[in-house]
Amino acid sequence: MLLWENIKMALSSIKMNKMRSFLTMLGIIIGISSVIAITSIGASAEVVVSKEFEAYGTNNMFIYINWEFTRDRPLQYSDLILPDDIEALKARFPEDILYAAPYTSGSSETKVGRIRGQLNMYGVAADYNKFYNINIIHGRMINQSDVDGKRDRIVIDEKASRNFFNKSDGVGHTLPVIINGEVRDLTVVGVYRKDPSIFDQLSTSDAYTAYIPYPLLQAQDDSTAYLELYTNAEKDQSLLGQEIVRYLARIKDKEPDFYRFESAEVQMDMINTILGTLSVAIGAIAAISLVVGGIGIMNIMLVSVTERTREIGIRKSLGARTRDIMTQFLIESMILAAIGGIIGTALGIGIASIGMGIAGVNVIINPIMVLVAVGFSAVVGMFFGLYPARKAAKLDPIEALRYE
Amino acid sequence: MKRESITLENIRPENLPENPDRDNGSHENLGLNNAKHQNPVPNNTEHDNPDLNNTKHENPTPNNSMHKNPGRPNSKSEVIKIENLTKVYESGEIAVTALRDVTMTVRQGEFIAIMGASGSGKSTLMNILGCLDRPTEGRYYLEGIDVNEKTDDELSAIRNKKIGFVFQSFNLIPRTTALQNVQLPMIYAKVRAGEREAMALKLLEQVGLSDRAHHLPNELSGGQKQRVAIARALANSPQIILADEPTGNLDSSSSIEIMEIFTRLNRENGNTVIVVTHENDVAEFADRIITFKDGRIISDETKGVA
Repeated sequence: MLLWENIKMALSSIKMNKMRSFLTMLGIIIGISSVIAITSIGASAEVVVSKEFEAYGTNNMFIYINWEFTRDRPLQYSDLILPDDIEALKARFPEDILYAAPYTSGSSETKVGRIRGQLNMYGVAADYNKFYNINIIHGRMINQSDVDGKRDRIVIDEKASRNFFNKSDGVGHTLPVIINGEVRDLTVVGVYRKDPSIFDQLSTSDAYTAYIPYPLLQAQDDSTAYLELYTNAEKDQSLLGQEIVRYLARIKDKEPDFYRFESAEVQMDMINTILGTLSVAIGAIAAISLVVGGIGIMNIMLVSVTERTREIGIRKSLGARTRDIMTQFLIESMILAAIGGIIGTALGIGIASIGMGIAGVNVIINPIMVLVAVGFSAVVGMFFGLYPARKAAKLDPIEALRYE
Repeated sequence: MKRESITLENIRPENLPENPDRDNGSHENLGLNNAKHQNPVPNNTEHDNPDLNNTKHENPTPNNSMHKNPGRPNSKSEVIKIENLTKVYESGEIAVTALRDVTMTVRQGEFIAIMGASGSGKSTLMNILGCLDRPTEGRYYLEGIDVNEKTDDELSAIRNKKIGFVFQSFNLIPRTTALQNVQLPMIYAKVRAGEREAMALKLLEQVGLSDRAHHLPNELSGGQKQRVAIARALANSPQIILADEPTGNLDSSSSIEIMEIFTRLNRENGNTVIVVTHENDVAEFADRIITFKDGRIISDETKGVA
């Protein structure tokens, strides 16, 4: 079969000019490897983001006052969310609101013996660990009676326990903290262990994250400007959030947009959209280098046609048809591009693996992307090989034979 | 290269490939055996047969081509017939007439030398005879086929199957072994790889170069290169061998070797051989010498007749 002969001829011609072939391929190699690396990194980053949000739960939602409305008038007490409002929301959405508590936080220095440390305390209601991924290894999580009785209880990180009490199980020990100017001795009721996350690297402070009953962090009264919810994950979070804030505004007799919400799922979608758009955009820029690589192939094929004019004349005199010469040169340029594509893919996967390895994330290779990249490079080879191949095929045999 | 290797032994029928199941029977024509077995009557049926591949089954080499004087015109069919051929090259405003009203006939099994000074039109005639170029005016019938009416691809097929070219500058494909060079016409004739290689080895053996099959052209002497080129010209068992100054780049002993090969191909295989040359020694090998001047035939002498 002539196709196989052509492939053999193309390979031997590529082998004859190893350096030139490699330099020609370089454009394609760079183009394909950057496309593959960027899309792989993008895909891996999306997976990482999803994983992080899975820890929070994609049904995590915050409700807060739309500060736009309070710019022109002072904040009124009736603007704040009160325990009655929370109960009303729970009553209105019994199926959809699984957890609702004022979102409170505070930080304080603590000292055990001569060991000092910083605590970032988050106020939670009972059963918070059912929604947020907290892995209790000793003791228990903050419960209903802790919340109802405003008890001085705290759940700390295993690392904090080791730091302050020199053991993993610090249950029963106390940590002195200052909340709203008041010193409180919090008793450790539970220790949790958290898996490392990429967001750990983002926080520069070496403070320990701890959970305490939310009423402890509330100032004088029970009102709050932020409400943390866990909702029915089956529902469309953005529609549900809309419904909840509208209802809240209605019972509080405020403008419909007076409360806003932020959903983890909506945020995640947003981040993924940004990541996706970014990798497509950068990938598209990288694809331009493919076109440049294609032009490189066209250039070298034109040189090759000129160099091999006599060979083309010989082949024609021996019975090669226009089509045979055309096929020969087209296959040569396609193989040149495809080899570049394969090397580029390997290089791209390598770059992505190294890059993601440094970040400590598994690299995700999209096989469709690899196929598209190699296929596209062959198409580039064909497209840019067409003109030189036609030029070769159209040579007049007598003139080609006379060519020196 | 030793003379022994290109003697009769190598071109004897028993050395030739016999492959009865091959649909394209053209290779068998190379051997003496076929000339004996096939229809000895030179009935030219090619007018009715559009398929170039099969023409040779029906129009085999006549049996008398081997032993009898190839110059005897009446017993031969006309393989080449040109009528009032004119070729004008137009470069810008100047028109150069390379051939003027040339009419000639070549019969099967003839050994012709075309002579003339450079610019006499002999190379132009060669290009037209080889279907590499088309005449401006006039008719050219190759084995009865009106070449003027053929498309470029059809001409490629004719060159591939009916004509074997030997050039002054050998025109082997560089950096490609002798064996692969010989296979080239068979690649374009779509002969299977195994068969192709066996045939190419056979042909190299016939020109005494079987030990050089895997050498590259630049590892061969001029005479050896030209013998590879002859083996390549024979690849699809063409009837006609066109050689354009085949000894132009060779020393005298290599020239004699090459011309002896042509003589054997003519005498023993029945090939029609046309050699363009300006050397009288070379032309002496031919049976008929046609001399060109200014695009016209000025003499046409056949040995033994004149």
